[in-house]
Amino acid sequence: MKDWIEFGCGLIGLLYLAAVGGAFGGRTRQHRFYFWSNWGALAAGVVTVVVALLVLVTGVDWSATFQGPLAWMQLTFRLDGLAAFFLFTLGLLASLVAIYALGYECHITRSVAIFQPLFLLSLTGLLAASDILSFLFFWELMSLTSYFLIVAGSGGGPKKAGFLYLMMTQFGTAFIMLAVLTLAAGSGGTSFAGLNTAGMAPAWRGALLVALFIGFGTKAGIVPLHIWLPKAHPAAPAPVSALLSGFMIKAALYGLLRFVGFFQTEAWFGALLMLMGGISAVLGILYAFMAKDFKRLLAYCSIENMGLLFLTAGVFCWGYALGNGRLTGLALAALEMHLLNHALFKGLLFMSAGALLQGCGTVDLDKMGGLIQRMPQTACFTLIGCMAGAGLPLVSGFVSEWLILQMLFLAALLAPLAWMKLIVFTGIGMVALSAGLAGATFVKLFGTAFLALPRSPQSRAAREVNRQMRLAMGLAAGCCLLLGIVPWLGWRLISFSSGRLGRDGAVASHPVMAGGLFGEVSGQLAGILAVLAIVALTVWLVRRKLAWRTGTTWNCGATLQPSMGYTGTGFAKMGRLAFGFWLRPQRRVLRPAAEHPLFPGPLEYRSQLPSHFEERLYRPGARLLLKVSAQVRRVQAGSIKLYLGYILAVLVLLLIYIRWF
Amino acid sequence: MADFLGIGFQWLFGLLLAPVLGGAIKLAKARLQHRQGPPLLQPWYDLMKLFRKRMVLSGTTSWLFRVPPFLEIGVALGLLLVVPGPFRAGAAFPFGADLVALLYLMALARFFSALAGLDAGSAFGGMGSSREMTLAALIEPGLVLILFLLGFKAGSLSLNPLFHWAAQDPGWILSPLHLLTGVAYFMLMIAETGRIPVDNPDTHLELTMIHEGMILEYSGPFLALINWAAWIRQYLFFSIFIQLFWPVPAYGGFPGPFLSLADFCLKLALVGGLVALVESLLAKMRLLKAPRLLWAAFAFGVLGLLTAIF
Repeated sequence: MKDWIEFGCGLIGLLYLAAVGGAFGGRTRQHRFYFWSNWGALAAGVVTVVVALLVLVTGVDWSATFQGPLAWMQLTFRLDGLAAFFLFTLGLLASLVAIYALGYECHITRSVAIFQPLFLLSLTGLLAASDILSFLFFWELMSLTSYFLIVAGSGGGPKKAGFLYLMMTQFGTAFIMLAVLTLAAGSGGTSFAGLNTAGMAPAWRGALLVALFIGFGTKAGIVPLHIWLPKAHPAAPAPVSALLSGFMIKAALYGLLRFVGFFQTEAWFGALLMLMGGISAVLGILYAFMAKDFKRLLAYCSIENMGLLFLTAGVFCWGYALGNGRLTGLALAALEMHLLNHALFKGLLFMSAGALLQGCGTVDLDKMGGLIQRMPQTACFTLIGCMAGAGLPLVSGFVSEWLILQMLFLAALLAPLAWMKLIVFTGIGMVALSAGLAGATFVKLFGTAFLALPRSPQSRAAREVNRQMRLAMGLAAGCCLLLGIVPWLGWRLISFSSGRLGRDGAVASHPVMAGGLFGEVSGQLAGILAVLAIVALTVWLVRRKLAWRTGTTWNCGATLQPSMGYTGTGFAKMGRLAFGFWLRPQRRVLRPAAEHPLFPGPLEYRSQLPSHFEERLYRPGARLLLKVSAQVRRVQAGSIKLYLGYILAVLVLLLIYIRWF
Repeated sequence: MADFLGIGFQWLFGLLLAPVLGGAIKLAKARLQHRQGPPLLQPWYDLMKLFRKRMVLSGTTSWLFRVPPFLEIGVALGLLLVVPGPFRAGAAFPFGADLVALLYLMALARFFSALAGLDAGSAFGGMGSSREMTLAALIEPGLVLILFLLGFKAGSLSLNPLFHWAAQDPGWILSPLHLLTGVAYFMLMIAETGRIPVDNPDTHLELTMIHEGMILEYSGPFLALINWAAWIRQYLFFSIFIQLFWPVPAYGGFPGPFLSLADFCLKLALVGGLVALVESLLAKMRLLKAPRLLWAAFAFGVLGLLTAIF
């Protein structure tokens, strides 16, 4: 079995490299190069799924070591339960996106075709990495390739967004490097197997944990480190956005889980993760509710979901700290379920954003409407994605939110101290608020894009997209439905994975996971399905009696105009006011001087939401940085003699240090 | 066997009584205002009439518009089946009414109704949907907090053990937690069932309506199904309120079930009367102030939390 896994891993790498080669192959039509690159990525994605399933089902931990010419040049790889589950999600999403991209045309350039397989390769390598050097190598490869993918979109927007992304991701990487290299120095080796914090002072351990949180939190888009995410993800072409939002930000979660496992986790760190995760969930979905651009809304929604995942990871760390395997196991199960759910539905929704761009020509919610008649299949798949995003029953979203809430409830019951219970209940309130807002957000997303009358010429002229794109969206929607209606499928997958985190016995013993709880949700869904089936039967029987004639929408006697339907901005108005204490919406009504008092001229209405984090946190920070660098620049006067002097001074100081300390 | 008979009877009782409860509140309100008021069974007469009518559907709408009536009634009837009622017989099912499933099923029905509100393309529907979804988002944290808090005290998130705990524990009624969460639940219940001061169920003015705005385009049997489902949902909320905060004691022996039923009906009538009194005393709140009421309910919940854990 090990041989097969090894063969598969090699095959994945080769296929991705072949896909990069494929990008150079085509010459005739405009998107030809993307075609071959995608077939390569599709094959690699399928092999990835197979390899991950092999690892999960057989329970074999595959590992391999590559020795370089020098002793320290050693790259080790290892696939355990956790890595394999992430790998499975990645492979599934990558194959779906590859099918989709076969038919996708907007903003695809050769650089997308080159960097997308490399990006996927770097993610695969990251998940398999088992020592600090290869982890950091693939981490940086991922950051750089994703940068090139983001700036591949047309216009100046992606360039700016890409620069911000690069800044933020390097900021985060600096913290990660600091933390993991210190960890390695403390444990005397770079291999994951030898990492531990046994000899460290608690304060130092705490500082490292915070550095890890900042580093991975930046990549994951946790508030207040999130500002790059809503700019970078919408800027990229749709298949790339699906990969970035669907998986890349989860690589940060993977890294966090991986490295936190090497610490003797402390309870306060779990509380920190829970609080920051909860805040991200609420603020992310609140901003998503306010967004008027389809892709931007989805990007903010990703912040929400990463928040939920971090909250769950917080409980996971807590379970460790308390030594409670039940809690740890349940938290990990909820985390993995939500991870899979989010990868599927966010991939699906970004794909439908691309479908809208291709079929309708816009992603501005205020300019859409009526698309359910013109793009019926896309509408149907998007609806399933929206239901999953809102966590509604019958799709995968419910199962994962159910698990998260049950897990929090268990945490409240098991928490030994009052402040812990308080934090857990805060988490419960935040999850509930974000779930409620997610419902409103997805009603807004689907309702204003697909329902009512078309509000612009583009959406009047919209047409259904091609077969490949519909196939990919349909498969993703099918997966969401499958996981929602037959939840024990996902459950099997998770139970393969989370039993073997590969550290200590804490996770291995979790009676909750053995069946009871999940049997319950399956039973409930079966009951719900039975009731709905009875209703459907009744409907079918009384159908003949339900006759109707078609009329026009009641509009107080006036003719219905497309402009009368609610726009995305209009739909969010009530929310904007209800949460005005935080959002502080600014609006201005411009009233140009009328020619006659009885015939007023047109009014102009402007409304915008200030970005608190940019104005209060990042602008002052950037200003401070500029000021400091202006001072520092004095040192760099351009004179060779001065620089030689610096070198001499440093040398002397070093010699003094070595001699006396 | 007896269990299933009990469940069946409880289910029939709920779906028949739910509209009557709506009629009773209307009647009580009319009497409080020195009006004669409609007959007690008026909601049933309305339903019967609507079921016989032929529908008009807007030509702007899509298939999505025809889903919510069935989904709403399906969810309402399904929940009626699993939420323990006056006989507390729900335990006979292999699946209990889990709080999370309960709330999310209601959210499912609401999600599709809100979409249907947008489907017809008029401003009324969109307005109703927007308001309904925003208010629901504000109601949800309070409701979840309170119910989870009670579940935390009872040690389970299933309604059956929760109700048992509330009925068995004599100290529960006298605890500050009971008062705080009870008040919060009552406020949220009023908002959730669309009553004054948050929503006015009797008018169709665009200034006041929330739920009514969403369903403005429905007629005939579809409207009947939606109204019926709304009444059942109201009945469920009242029933949960009674069983949590004013529990029906377990009567043993032969007349026991009938005593329980009578006790339950009496309490239902009293809670309905209380709601009617609130509706008569208060004016409809300005919509933009409704969130404050919900935040206040949430604050009660938080206070309850503090008393529960410290």
